[in-house]
Amino acid sequence: MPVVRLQSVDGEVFPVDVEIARMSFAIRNMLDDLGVQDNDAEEVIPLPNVTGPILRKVIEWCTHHKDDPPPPEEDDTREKRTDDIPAWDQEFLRVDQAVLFDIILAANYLDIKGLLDVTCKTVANMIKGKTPEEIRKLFNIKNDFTPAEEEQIRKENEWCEEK
Amino acid sequence: MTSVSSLAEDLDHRNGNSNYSFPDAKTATTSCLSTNLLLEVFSWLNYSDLIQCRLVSKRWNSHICKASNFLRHAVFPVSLHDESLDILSSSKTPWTNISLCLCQCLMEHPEEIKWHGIHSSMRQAKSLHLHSSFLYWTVVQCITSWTLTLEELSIDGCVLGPEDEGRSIVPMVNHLDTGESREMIYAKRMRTLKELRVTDKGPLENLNRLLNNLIRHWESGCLESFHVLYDPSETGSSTSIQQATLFHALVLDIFRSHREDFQLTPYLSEEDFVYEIQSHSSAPMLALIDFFIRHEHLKTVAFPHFNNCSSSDLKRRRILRSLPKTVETLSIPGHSYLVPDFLSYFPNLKSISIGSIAGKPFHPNSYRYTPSVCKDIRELGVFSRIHLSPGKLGNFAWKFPSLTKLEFNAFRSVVNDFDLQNIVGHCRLLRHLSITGCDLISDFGFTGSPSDWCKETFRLGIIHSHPPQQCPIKNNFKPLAALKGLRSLLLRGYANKISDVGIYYGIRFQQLKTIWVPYSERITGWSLKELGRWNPSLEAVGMTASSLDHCKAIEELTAEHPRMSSDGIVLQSWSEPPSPYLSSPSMLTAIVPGL
Repeated sequence: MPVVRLQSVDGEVFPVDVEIARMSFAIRNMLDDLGVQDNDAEEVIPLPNVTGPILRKVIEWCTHHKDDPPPPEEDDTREKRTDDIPAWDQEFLRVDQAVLFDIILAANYLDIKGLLDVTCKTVANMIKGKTPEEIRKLFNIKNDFTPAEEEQIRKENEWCEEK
Repeated sequence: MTSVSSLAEDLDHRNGNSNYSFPDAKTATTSCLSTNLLLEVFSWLNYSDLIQCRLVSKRWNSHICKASNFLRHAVFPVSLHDESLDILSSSKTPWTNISLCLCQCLMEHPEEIKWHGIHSSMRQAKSLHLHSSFLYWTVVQCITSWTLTLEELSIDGCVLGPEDEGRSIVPMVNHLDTGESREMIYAKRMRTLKELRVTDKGPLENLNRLLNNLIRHWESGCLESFHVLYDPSETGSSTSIQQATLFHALVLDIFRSHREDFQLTPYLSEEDFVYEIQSHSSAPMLALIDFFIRHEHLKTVAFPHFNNCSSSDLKRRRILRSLPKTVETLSIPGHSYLVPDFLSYFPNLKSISIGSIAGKPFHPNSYRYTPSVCKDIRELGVFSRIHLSPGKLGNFAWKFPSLTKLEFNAFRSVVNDFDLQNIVGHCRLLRHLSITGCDLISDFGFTGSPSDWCKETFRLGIIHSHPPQQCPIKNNFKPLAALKGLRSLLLRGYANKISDVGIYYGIRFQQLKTIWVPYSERITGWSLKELGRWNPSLEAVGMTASSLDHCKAIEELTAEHPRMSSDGIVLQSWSEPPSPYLSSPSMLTAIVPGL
């Protein structure tokens, strides 16, 4: 199996199977653009936006999911579900918030749709069913509304209805 | 962990430190996520979560207003005489769907209405719903002028008197100040319109006048669908033949320009005497058949019940036969309009609703179910009296594996555990399930666990000690909770065999918003309160014939649950029979606000 070498911002180099690296559309495009041949084992792809520990996580996820069918086409009318995260992914994403957000950023930068979806779903599940105060506490967000602004939105929420 | 945040778009870091990094996990916040990524997270949330998230911070609020799954699904209802007018006027949210109620004060004290501000709040409106019994043609024209790019206009209510009477009541606004006349501005608004819907239940003359005006001012532009829903049941007098003929002529006139949708009646009929076209001749029916034959591309069809001596069932079935094969949504007043192989007529059918107008009971087994059509049907509603023995309903439902909405209005006790289990096993995509007459259901139907185990667990009071995964499951049966996408579950009846065990293990849904629980003495306040814990999206709870214990439990549940308010409770007392009017979620909406 041909291998590419991915280099994180902090200089760590990870040899990865080409097929696994190509799950990232960003890397796939880079490989295609560079015209990298299968035998160019010395080629190192620098990833200036991903740190070593995060890149290790991303590669671990891609390796586990390498045989997944491609994700279905975007469909606005279909309801998005968040209760279908596989057990392995749930365990894999049981990490500090900071790491979770870093994985989201990396998944977005590397353009790995499956990983982006499952991490965003995980954050969505953290939000579901919580009150605004609980959400602020969870993510350490400061309430920057004036009392009047907050009251206005609270009232709008009371009045508006789901179509 | 240095340059992760450089991924984030400058938008988010314009006000902050662009070299943001996390000293430790505790201070990690969602601010490291760019707008697009935050929107990506929001796209996985449903409406009730999004409105909570709006209150988190200014940044979250402004992003949620950009999320495609929020404003498109939110409607702001405004009334001219209450607080909602102030709230809308001072709102910074670009509401796209607005429902405006024009109340009596519009006619009596128009000078007291605070028009200021509402114009600019409605600039962004894409969909406008006007309802009133004081609607003049000029009022409609003026209000549409407040918007800039209107796509959907829905007019609900009768149009009164000579059209000039409303002229000076509502201010006209020309946002772009181009000095055009009211008629010209109105004509411009109509050009962006994609959908127009008119509902009326007053005298037919009024509706005819409105239709006449619409035709006169017609600038068809990009109009895609046009619906007329007429309900003559509240007029008190039967419609004269002249008006009925004029009505048909007007409707046919509007439809000349080849529309895909045709609706002439409310969606379903609850009572035999409602929504009929009373006439001594069969002319309206023949006009309708003629219309259907000449329109080969109809996709949505709903038509009224024809009640006169010359309209035999044979003639009624002719209406169905005259429909084109393109029909996708079909709503008929009763099963007397059906022919045994009707499904093979409509290869594109996605939704069917059979109203309650019927002499004889509905026998589902007397129709042929074409599998290729059945597998694509998404919505099925049967409101006719159903004649079936218990256990057979499930066999009927499993012919339709793609259903997202299933409504059975069985007036007798025809639904048992096997019906419910068949539905759980075969209609996996269900979002809405509504069944009346659930008197025969027990814990087994709710949980899929053997009845003996359910009984014993209830008797010993050890419900809490079993985790749900460790419940014994009989054969291939499943708990109701296996219907993971369920949004509303309305099971009506007096099912005295259901206990806390069924409620505790069967009712666990992440997305469930509305539930109606059948009455049982063996359901205690404990399991009703537990409902809140296992159903985080719950907004409304209803129960048939509640006891004092039930009422208390539901009140406590409401107080503790973040999503519920006291508006969301409906309790029926013992003395009231289960009302047929509560048979469908749409009817429930009238009683439970915020569904």
